[in-house]
Amino acid sequence: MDYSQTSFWSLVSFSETGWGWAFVQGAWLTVRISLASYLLGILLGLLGARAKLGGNRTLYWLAEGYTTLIRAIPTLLLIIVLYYTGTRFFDATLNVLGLAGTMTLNGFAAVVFCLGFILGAYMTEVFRGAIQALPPGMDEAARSLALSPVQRFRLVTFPLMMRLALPGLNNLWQSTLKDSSLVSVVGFAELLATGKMVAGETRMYLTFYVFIAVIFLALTLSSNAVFALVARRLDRGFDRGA
Amino acid sequence: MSLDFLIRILPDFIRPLWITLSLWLLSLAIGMILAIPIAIAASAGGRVARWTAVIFMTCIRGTPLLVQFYIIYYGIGTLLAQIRWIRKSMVWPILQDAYWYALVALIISCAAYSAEILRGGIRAVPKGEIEAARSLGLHRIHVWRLVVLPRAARIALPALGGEAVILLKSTVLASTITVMDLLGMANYIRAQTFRDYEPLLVVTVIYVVLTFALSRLIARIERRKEAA
Repeated sequence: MDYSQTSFWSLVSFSETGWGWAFVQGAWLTVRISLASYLLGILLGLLGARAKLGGNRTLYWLAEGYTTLIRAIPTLLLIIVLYYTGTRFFDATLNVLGLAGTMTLNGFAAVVFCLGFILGAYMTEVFRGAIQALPPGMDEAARSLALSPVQRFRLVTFPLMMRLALPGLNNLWQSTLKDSSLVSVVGFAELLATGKMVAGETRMYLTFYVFIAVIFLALTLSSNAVFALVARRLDRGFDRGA
Repeated sequence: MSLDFLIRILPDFIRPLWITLSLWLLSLAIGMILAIPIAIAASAGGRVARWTAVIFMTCIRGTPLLVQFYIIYYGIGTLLAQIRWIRKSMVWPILQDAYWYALVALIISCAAYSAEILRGGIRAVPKGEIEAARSLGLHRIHVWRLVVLPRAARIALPALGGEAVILLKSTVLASTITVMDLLGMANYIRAQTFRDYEPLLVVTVIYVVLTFALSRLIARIERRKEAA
């Protein structure tokens, strides 16, 4: 089909011939994989920071190896390695268990696992830095109140640490959002893959890649505003040094 | 996983290693030089210069590098191919080589991120030092060249070192626009031989070695600067 006479706005419209819904779906999928891998990353990051600061030597070296290695390898390369070895490992495990063909690894889960696992290494460093920056008196005060370790973490360390970790968390959210586009390389149909498909179909490469960039820019700028709001809230009661 | 096969494909990675390293070094050097005027414009330029610099940095830092690669290679690349006199000119062989598009994308990215870091450094230069330089009767240009920029560069040094490491890792994206860099070669071997582990392992090990060596080099430079 020849699209040279069709206007850009009718191509991104929500009519039958427009790709409006495809872009909405792609963007929504990008947001979902970013959010899910961000949550997985936070979880792994908290565990990693705990392992690094908990005092157990084996756990410390395990976490140290995880963060050092992951952060030394390009994300795109890691996604390819984790995606292919991960899915193959999954199939092999099913084979061994005699369950071959009964389950297939969901693409969404595989992608979130890859991105979250990579993000966890960067998160570990952010949380470790934030916890170490807390005045030791805080934890001592919590101990003297006879709070249990879980209570100490939930009521004292975590809320105080989050305020210090927030700039790092914001940075990592921005890079998660942007790095999520890398999974288009292993064939996952998020926003960039949608753009690629439409760009190839219409042969309007410049137009549609710029369009995708604009959507990403809107996502990063609006989430920046959200982080600024959260930062204001967590800063309540602290001298902002202004 | 076969060790024989792994050793046999090693020589294939020599040229790609050079392509990756040259992409990195060239984009780092040119990007950092471009970052200086952008950072100055963003922190002390007139209204138009400041907004141009800030919008440039925001757009580049707010969008995925992979999308920027596609805009430059597929977007601008196909646009250039439609212009007849360019296709007949001497530069056409260069414009057909994806390497140069990857280089341009990496330079733009490095310039934007480094400019943002430098802007932070410029903001952190103590006011008194700038006032002292002015009170010596130094010209505006000399205040920048002799006082503000060297101080800002030193303040920003650790972050700029981090940017150099990130840029090295970003070079893998060149493989997505058909450049035969390290990952490009690995993907080529995978497609030719249907063996995934060996070529990917080779590239992974090379990157781990490169980033480790680079981090140590940066740490050493920082220590020397601190001692000075």
